[in-house]
Amino acid sequence: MEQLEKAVAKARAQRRIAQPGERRSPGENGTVFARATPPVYRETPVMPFRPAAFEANKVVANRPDHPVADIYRSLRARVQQRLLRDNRRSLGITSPGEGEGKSWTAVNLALSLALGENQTVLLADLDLREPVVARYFGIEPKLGINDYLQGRATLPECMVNPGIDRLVLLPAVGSLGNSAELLSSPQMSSLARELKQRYADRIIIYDLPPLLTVGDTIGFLPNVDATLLVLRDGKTHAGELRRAVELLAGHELIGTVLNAVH
Amino acid sequence: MAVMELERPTDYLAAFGRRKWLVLLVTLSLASLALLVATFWPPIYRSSATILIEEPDVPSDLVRSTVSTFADERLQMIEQRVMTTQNLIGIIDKFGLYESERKTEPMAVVVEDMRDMIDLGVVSADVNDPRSGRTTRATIAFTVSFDSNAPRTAQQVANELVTLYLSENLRTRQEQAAGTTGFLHEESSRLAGRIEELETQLAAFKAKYAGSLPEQLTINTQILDRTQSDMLEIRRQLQAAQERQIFLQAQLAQVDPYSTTSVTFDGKPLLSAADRLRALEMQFLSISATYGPNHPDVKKLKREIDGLKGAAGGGSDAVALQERRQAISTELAQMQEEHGAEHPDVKRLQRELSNVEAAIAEGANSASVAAASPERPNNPAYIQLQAQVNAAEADIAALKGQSIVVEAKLTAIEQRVMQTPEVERAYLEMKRDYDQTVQKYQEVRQKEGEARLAENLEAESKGEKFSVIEPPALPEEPVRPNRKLILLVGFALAMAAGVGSGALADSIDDRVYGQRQLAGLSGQPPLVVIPRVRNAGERNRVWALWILGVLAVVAGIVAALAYVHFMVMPLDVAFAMLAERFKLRF
Ligand SMILES: Nc1ncnc2c1ncn2[C@@H]1O[C@H](COP(=O)(O)OP(=O)(O)OP(=O)(O)O)[C@@H](O)[C@H]1O
Ligand SMILES: [Mg+2]
Repeated sequence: MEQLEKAVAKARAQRRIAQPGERRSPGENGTVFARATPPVYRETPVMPFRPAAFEANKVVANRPDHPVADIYRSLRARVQQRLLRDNRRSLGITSPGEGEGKSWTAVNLALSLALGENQTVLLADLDLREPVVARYFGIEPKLGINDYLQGRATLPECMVNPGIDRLVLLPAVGSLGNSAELLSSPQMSSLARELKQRYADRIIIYDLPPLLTVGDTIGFLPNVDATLLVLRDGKTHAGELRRAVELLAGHELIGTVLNAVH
Repeated sequence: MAVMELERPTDYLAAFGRRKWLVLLVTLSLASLALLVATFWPPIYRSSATILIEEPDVPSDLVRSTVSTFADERLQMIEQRVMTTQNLIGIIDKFGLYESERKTEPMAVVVEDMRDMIDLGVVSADVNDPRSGRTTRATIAFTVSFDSNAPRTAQQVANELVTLYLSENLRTRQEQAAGTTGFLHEESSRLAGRIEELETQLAAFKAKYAGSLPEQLTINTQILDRTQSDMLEIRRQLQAAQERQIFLQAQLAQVDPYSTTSVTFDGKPLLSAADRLRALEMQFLSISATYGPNHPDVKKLKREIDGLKGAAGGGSDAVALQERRQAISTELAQMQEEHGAEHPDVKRLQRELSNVEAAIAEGANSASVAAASPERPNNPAYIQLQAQVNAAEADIAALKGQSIVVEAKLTAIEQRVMQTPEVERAYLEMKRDYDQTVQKYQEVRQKEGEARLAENLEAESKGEKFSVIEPPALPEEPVRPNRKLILLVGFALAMAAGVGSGALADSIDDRVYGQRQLAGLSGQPPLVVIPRVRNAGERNRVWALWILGVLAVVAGIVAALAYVHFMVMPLDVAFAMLAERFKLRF
């Protein structure tokens, strides 16, 4: 808790320093990576999360005393271990169907990782049909990944710090309808590549759409180093699970998470 | 399809955990249904009577009862007669049964329902059969019962049914006995008719072969003997007459037909033959009209006249005959006028007149013969002899005639006697038939008498009869339903159904539950298992729901109790009723 409050206070201070006008400089597009200097999050605007949103969305990984936070710490350890062993840095989180807890798991895992020692985390919301990551944090960013994809903003401009150390969000703003072609587009591949190259020690977590209902989720998977499959207890049908496992056969599946067990 | 078979006890526990609401819902609703059924199923009361089938009072070998069907069969027959739709409708009307049902259902359905409520049971026992001396299982009594939701109705209807059974038994037995009597009576009158027929046949036979009948054989033989002796006698007389004729003819040949003397041997003036003839003829006409031609006097006169005619050269005096005719016809006309045509005297006169006219006609014929005759003999001795010869000739003729008649008679009698054995055979045959029929008739008559006696026996119900040894009582406790059993079974079924529905739901549910199933399907156990997380709002909502639910249940119970208490019956009464229904004792 203390840590959290500190983070909040810090975020507030930073917001006072950072002026909105400074973040938007025309013609920066394409040169953003050349200019980049560590630590990145200092450049990233801070929008502190609302604890009420965490409470409402049952985000618990930041609560040290919560038993589920413990579980996330163990998940964090296993994910870190599996990724760093093979020098992998990006992790796509998906599930066979909708509403199984992909976003919730992604947020909790990202939080848990960031709150651990020495691990910077980028959480990118790639579920462009219905982006929820910003909502989970209770923030309303002006720009999102869709603005970047449509060339209206640079990538750093789209990023936001929710007021937690070592955690940067790349949210999406508003629904984009058919993300079908977008996810498997070369533009997306270059985005993934850029994000990976930019910070060497950062873990990138992608909140992806469902695997079976959205056609090109599978098309994005070659851009990630590993995949985590979330299944909701008593919701996923056996057949869906089998098909999902089949689809993920060639894509480094580091494991499954059985979510929302009664 | 279940994702995986349940293997460990924990699997079952987990499965129950995820189906607990379904299991609970099904179990509770079925259990409360059972409770409702057990509580509100209307009580059915049964009233039953036991009826003993009694042996006849009169020993059966004394008067053999014609009703010999077995008690079971008869019971069935009577049941069919009692259970007619008509009878049942009668009972329904009498006691106003099934009133509400009758408004909606056709009568046939109501009667069918009523039939289901009637029960007939037999009571059997090992009895010693006095006739065969063996022990057999026999129906000695039966029970009739009626089920109704009102104890009094049950009793009343059972009573009515018992009455029906008793009277139907009586009627059936009487009918059967009467049926036997009727059959025997019919048979006896048929035989009587047959006897009558045979009798007429016999009579006709006797009439046809009258005289040849065996019992007449002796008489026939006697007659035959007598006729034969008659015949001999006639032959003897005939011979005598012929001898006399020959002798007289010999004498006649020696006498001269003509003589001058007109006196007889004793000196009396001798009537000429013609005068005598005339007198005789007058006498004959008169007599033959009075008597028939076969009268001995008439015959004698006729013979004398014939003799005289021969002697006198025939022909009566035509003048005298004419005069006589005149007189008769005058008298006839007078008599006819006085007495009418049918009077015997008139008839007699008519016959005389026709005789006289015939004589006139004959006289005219013979007058020519007489005229042709040269001369008539006038010697009285000769004439007398001549007359005697003529008489002898007539005697011969008569005897010959007699002998022919007797001979014919003799042949006829001989014929009859010869026929007798053949007639006897046919006659005996008919007689045997007749006798047999009569014997049979007598037997049947005797049986009929016995049957009539037995019928009277039945009528006085001295035969095998029903007697009520246990009349229908007013039932105190319902026979149905067994509420505790309904509850027990109902609860057991409810639980089974609950668990069953849970198992079914789990078996057709192909969603993934638990890490074991997940591991089985994905090939590896999950990295982590994350429980379902609730925030404060959700926790509160769950609490609120629980509290609301409990409150609702409590409020529902209170409301139901209040409704019962104020709208149906006071709770203590209701409680007492329930205790009584479930036979709870405190
Ligand atoms: N373990 C959990 N405990 C309680 N609630 C959970 C849990 N996991 C997810 N949820 C809730 O389930 C809902 C759906 O979760 P989430 O949005 O993460 O699903 P998703 O897979 O991302 O769905 P979509 O396909 O729409 O993106 C959210 O309201 C979330 O709060
Ligand atoms: Mg999502």
